[in-house]
Amino acid sequence: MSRVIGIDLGTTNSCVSVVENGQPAVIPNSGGYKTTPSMFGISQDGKRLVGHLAKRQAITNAKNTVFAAKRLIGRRFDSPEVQRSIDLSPYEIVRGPNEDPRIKIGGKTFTCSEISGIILREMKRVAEEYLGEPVQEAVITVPAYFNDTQRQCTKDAGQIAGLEVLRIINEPTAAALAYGMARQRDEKIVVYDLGGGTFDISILEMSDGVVEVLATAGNTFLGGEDFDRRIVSHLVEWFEEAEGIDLRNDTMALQRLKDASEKAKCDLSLREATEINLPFIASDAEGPRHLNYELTRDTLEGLVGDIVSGTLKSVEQCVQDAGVAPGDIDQVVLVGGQSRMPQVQQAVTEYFGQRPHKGVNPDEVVALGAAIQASSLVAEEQSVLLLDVTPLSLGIGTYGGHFARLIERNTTVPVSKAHIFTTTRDDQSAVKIRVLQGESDLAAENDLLGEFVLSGIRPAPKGEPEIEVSFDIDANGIVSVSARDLATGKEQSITVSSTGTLSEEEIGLIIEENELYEVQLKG
Amino acid sequence: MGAGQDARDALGRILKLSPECDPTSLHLSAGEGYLLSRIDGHTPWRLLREMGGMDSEEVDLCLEGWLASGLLLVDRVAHSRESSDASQRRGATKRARSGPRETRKPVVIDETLLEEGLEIDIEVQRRILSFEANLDLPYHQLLGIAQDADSRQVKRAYFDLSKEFHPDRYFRRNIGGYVSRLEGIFKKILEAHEILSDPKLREEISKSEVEEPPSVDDSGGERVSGGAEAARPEARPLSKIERLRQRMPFKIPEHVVSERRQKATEFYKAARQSESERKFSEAVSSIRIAICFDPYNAEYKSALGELHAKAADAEARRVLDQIRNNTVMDYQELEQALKLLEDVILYRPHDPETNSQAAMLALELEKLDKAFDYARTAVDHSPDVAAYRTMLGSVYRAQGDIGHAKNEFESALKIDPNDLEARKAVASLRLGRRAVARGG
Repeated sequence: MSRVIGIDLGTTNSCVSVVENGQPAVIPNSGGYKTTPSMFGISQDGKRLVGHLAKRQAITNAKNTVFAAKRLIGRRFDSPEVQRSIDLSPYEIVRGPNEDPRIKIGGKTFTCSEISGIILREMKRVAEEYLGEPVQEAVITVPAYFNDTQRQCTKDAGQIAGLEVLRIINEPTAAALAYGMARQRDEKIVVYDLGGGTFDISILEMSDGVVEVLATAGNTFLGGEDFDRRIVSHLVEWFEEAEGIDLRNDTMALQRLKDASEKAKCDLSLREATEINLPFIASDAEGPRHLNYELTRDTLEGLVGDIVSGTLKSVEQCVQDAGVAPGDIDQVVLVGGQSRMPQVQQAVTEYFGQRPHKGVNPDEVVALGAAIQASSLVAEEQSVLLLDVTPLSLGIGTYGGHFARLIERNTTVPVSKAHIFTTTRDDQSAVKIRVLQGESDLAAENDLLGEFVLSGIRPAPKGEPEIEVSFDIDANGIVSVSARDLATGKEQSITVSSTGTLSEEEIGLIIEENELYEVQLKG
Repeated sequence: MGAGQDARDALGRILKLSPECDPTSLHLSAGEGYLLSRIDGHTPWRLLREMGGMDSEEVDLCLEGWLASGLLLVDRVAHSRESSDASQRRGATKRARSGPRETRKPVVIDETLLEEGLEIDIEVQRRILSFEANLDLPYHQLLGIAQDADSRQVKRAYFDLSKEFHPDRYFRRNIGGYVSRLEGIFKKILEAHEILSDPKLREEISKSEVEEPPSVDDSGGERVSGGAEAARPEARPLSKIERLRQRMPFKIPEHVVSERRQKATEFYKAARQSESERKFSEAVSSIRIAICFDPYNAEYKSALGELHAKAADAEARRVLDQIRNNTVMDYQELEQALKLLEDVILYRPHDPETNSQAAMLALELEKLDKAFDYARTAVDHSPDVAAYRTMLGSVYRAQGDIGHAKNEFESALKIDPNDLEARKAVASLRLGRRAVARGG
């Protein structure tokens, strides 16, 4: 039997791991790095580049290099998040035929699943090189707050990469699995996961091989990149004031600023001040200009203070949903590179009244957990059992644009829930069931997962017919919804999770096409 | 199912409403109301199960409950021709599918469900089946803990059972139908944990468990109606739907609810006003609006039934007047009139006058089966009215059952020697018989 791997498909970096002799281990890539940048570029001469190779040429080829595609996956083109990305990204984002955002680089348009698929394929290749055997199956992690469409698109990406995705699991949950592997005691833990592009918080209870997610919350559009961006705009403003030159439209300068900011941010986790030196950042009639700036930890903390305190709002919500008090928590586990920042650690320490756990590597722990879950699922004797929850409420749209929740967020799966609905007009013969996911009381503000019509309702005054709508989520997270007219027994149903933004044929075409490039990827 | 023949007989039972029963006084769900309305003294149990709206178990529960409470009587057991082959076959597959759930008897499991060749041990299969057979136990028994177990013990039991029954344990293994069994079991364990770890829900549940001893659960087929108190349909275990309704997954804001209730009350008053003015159909539409605003108000629902009956009554009276005044009616009008009367009968199944009139119209339309039922009902409920006897006699005569016809006509004459219709009939029957005798 071939081995199964765990992949942490991150916004900025990805990481792959495998369980060997009962112990999970991160697989380094051929350059010896344990993580690989989640970047993909097409060079001037048409070569496809992934990971470190893509990152290295990003500065000179910013328009044709994709990063942070995870922020776009599974979203609608018109969503505010995508619109914000369009403003911030040096690469071109266009409207796809399914109202999905697509990325145009090197004269070709890619879906977001395709970009993620290319990165996953690279991770698969890293694992195959290391293990010396083909790998076909994987568990992939996503932010806990990803909705159903985003998860499905990630699954599609796995398929495009030639992987069978055993399960999509939440990043903080994976982190908890890796943390909990070595622990014997019964514990309640908090996983605070501030990664490159997303923020997640989960509270879990673990005991003797069972890991139960009590609650999860977060923000899929908040992460380390926002910290970088704050530094960049601070530098741009400062430079404009000092030198009178506006760098905002200079993509190459911006990319240099971004890299320098990221590095400075990391430096400041260890020291109080750091120098940012960018010679020849711009030029005008008077000749070349250089950017020379000393960034202190105090300045940085002033720039991002509101982001850090913003994360605590999600923490608060999660603690409430889990029905625990901050003092009940036995251990706080920090995950994601951005959690290395002293200001973040201090905020978390203050909130929970205890210092966070130091024993895990925040960049690797998620991939390790994914590998643990993968090997446990296929093993004869399971080492861990994960009792996961659905992160967002599910329900249907009702009369007047309201949202009726049938499954509340943080409900353990598998689960079934049902409720009786009725008609709004006399002799109404059909009802439209619109399946929605989200936390707003207004239907329009939630994500539409799918819809169907139940017809043939016996004529009756409005309010009389009884239509039972049932939601079912199975252990694989597949959502199916059915509606039944209790008077006639007539039933209609839909399986929601089959609706990523790509059809089976499209995925097939992409796989075929990518195989053409396989040679280039290896070369 | 139990022994073949008995089971078939049980499903062949034909039910009728008991004369004492007034269905309008019951509080039924739409599904139950529909089921009740299908009980017409013709439809065997088997077909009632397939009416739709409820699954067979629910139908059985309802019918057994109503039987036990005396609301229904077993009229007779159907001749086999009453259920077509097709429906029998459908019934059979349905039963086969829901088979395992019907064998509620604890601990005994259906050995035929054990399957060799699956990637799951026979012993484990046995364990799953017997656990599944006991899913209706009170939550703490399901989890195997004491009623006063603390939250740690609840959690431990939940974790241990999850390890045993979570579908992930058999991830991608070939375990046949056990996938859905495991999901069902796990969901129930989840529910038990959810409720027992919430002190408020737990208190509610333990109260209801005291009030409703689980013994009500074993299907009441053999129950003697002596314990009518306990066996009233309300006392049966809550149906799936009722349980769902009790645990509404979302709440409509309180002010919206009260506003809507207020409106409902206004329309209810308007309905009563129209009723007092004898504008029944207006009253019906007002009450329908009231129900829209307050769909779970039982009072409005029963008022709707009552007003419907009155509206139908008024309409029927108009039609009967027409008939009495010998207004000429064509076939279509007759059919419409019969339909109207049948509407009334739906709400007043035992009103002899309506039944007898319906019998007359049915006879006119040569619907002899219907005519017989209505005429019979009229006589059953008012045996001392000559006109009803005469009507029944006429139906017998039309069916060619001269013996019974003569009996009825003679009884009518005994009650009322001046009943012209009966006298004529008896005379002509005698003539007929004499003619036959002469001819022979």
